[in-house]
Amino acid sequence: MDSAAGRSWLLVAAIALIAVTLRASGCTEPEPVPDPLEGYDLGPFLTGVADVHVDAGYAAFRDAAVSLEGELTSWLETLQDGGDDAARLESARIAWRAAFMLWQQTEVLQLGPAAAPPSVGGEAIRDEIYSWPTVNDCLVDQGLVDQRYADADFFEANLVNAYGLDAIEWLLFGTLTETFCPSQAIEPSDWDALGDDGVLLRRAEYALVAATGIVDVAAVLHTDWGIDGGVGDQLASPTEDGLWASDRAALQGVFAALFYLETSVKDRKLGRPLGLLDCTTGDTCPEDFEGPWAGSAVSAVRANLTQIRTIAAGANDAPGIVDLLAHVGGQALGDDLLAALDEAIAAADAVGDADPATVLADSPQDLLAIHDAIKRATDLLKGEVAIVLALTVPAESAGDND
Amino acid sequence: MSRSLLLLIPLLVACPTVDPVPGDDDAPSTYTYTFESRFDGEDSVAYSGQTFRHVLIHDLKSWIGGLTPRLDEGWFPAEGDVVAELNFFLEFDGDTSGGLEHGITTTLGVDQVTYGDIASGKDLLGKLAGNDPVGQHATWATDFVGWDDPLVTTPESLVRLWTYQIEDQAIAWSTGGYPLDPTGAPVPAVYVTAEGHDLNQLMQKFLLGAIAYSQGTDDYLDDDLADGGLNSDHEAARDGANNTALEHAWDEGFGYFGATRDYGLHTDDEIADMGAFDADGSGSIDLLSEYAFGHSVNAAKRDRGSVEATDWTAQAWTGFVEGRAILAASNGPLTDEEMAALQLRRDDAVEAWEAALGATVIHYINEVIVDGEAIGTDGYSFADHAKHWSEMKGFALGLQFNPRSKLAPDRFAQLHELIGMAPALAGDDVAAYNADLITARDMLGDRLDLDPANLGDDHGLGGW
Repeated sequence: MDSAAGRSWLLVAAIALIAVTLRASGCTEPEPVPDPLEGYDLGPFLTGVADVHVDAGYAAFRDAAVSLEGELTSWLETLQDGGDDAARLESARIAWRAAFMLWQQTEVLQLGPAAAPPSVGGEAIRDEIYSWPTVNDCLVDQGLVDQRYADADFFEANLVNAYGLDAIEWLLFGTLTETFCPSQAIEPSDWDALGDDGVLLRRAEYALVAATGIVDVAAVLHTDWGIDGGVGDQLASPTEDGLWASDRAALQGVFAALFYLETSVKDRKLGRPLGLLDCTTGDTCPEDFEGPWAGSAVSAVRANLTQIRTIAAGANDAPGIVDLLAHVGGQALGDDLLAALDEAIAAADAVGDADPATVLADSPQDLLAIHDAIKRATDLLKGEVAIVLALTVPAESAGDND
Repeated sequence: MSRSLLLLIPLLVACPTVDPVPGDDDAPSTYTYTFESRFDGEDSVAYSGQTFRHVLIHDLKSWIGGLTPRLDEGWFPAEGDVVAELNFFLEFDGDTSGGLEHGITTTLGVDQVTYGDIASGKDLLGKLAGNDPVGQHATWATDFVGWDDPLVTTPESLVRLWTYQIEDQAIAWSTGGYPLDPTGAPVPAVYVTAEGHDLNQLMQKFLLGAIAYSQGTDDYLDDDLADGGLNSDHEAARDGANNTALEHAWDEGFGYFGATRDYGLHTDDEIADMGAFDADGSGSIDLLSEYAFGHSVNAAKRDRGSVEATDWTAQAWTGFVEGRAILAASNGPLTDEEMAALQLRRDDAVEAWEAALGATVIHYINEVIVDGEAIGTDGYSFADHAKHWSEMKGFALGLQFNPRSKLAPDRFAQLHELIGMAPALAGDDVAAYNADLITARDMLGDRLDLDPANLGDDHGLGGW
């Protein structure tokens, strides 16, 4: 039996099971759809997600945030001392890229406190660290002029677009001594009065405050996730009074989180700049790329994809989504899923470190190749994978915005 | 193959759901709001202008809802920018904007993509209570009650006030000037004020009352004019149409209620949760007949949420359908008996419409009571509190626009004195305010003949 044929028969069986169940309910109170993974021990899979993908990711990011804070401290001190600030700035940029890429890996599994409500246990902590696409470079410059960042209640009195990795990106990679704010946002004379050196100094001060905030939040996130009985433990070992009442509920939570690949990566990070949806300013929307100042849009997508692939394939001896599929006879479906993800990663590799806006202008098909491969993967996730494993596709991903 | 298999799922699992009028054995004589024209034999139902205004109200709410992320992502509006964009909907110009896409989407897609695909020559403010010069039972320049602000003398002045408030907050928001909630944190969205007004909810709910409910009950379904509403001509076809002025007036009343043409075939859950039904199996939704708007959806929600069963969806549906059937069956001006029968159907429909609206006010009174009691606990949400209060206030303002209201003007004024101008927040006398809300709830229930079992307890629980 070839791959396609195997998948089709599997799908027929899954649909028939659902139909028989609903018919058997007499069209009154629908009975729960039978669990195709009944008897399968989901513990190793859930533990793998909690430990390998999330806990380790939060720990690595926390450490990277501390490094970023250190580099920004050095940059600020060098500016204050009149030393070689260009070298320190470059070091800070490297540290930002390292932290940013680690965060992109954790981004794809927004579970528990990192996620936004109404996600289970969601506290929107993710936005405190990285609020893209809610970013506002001009608001940051306003805060620079009036030194809002120095207020004791800066993080409480301002919104997430005033701080986080996105704000630091603008401060480190943006126009540095210039601002593009309209006059209703910043009086040009107020900006000019600071002088180039004054602006740079405040950028460094601002970035350091923002980084310190990230370090604090990253530590809380990791602690909340990992301590005994914390969110990670609850995911790995669900209990009725925990965030996830059962292994199946936890699996559903992980599955729903994977649709970051659909809504954020495919549609927002690629589809919108490519002009495939919600692009209102022209045929394409390069201004909607993620990380425009650092030119990091494609590398971020690649980081997202590699993490999704490890969740799909399993890592460090933990089973992955493909193992769950194999248990119900869906080996071929799992292979197809991995193949689509590999194709997307290869397409991202082909673009490499090239400036995304330039690629969009000169060879948009290279970006489209990433998008289309991801679409193949997400079509499988919300179609056959969801049916075969009897999982629910999140409402915002149920349709196809293309 | 996989796609075709997926398409089979609904067929495999579909259950028969034919309940002509949910909860009512006395089904109307026809199951859809479709009536043959005596002039050409085609369907004579037409209310595209009402659908158009429902779409504008929907899109206005979406626009306001999207304002916060626009500002957060770097829009710095100058004075007049925000008001101008709000006026796009309020003063809609079909000549310049009819070709633009509206904002209603469904999973099946919609038949009408642009505003112009739905209707032409319509706006919102022109039909706001007080602005439509004929047929209104009160002089809204002097009789408008419920919003205690010296700048507000008419329904339009209230709408204009809110547009300027939204603009003022938007300009301040863009430069980091956020209103603060009682804890000192920025309010959750630019359309929420520090005092607990959700201007988006207030605007939308008020427009549903001051346009849809007002026009429906006080214009098209009223009979106080010699040649308007139910006294419209029923002899000749309107110019270029296959229905009479009276048939069209009745349809327009139905259109403002917002039901689909097959409303009576669906359960309360289906109407409340789905609201769009591909009745003709075309594969997409016709907004002119297959999409439920505003009041008709709220009626289903209240029926569903009643402790002691109500069936206002059925009552309204039966009234509208049977009344229209009387018109379709007559071949000329109505006899006195036919007019009396028509007025009875009108009274049934309007009574159900008012009851559902009143029950919706009570639903939000209960939500506000619960919010007030949650102040200081982990479960408290200022955003929810502002939203619920504004839904309550916005819907409650609409009750005055029905000439057949069971709520007399003095009681209406009392209702708004009790509801007040803002929720009681942390630091206020919440217990006293909640007691006022319970008084308002009981008075409203009594006047509208609502079953006490549905009103809720002293904590806002156990009822709507």
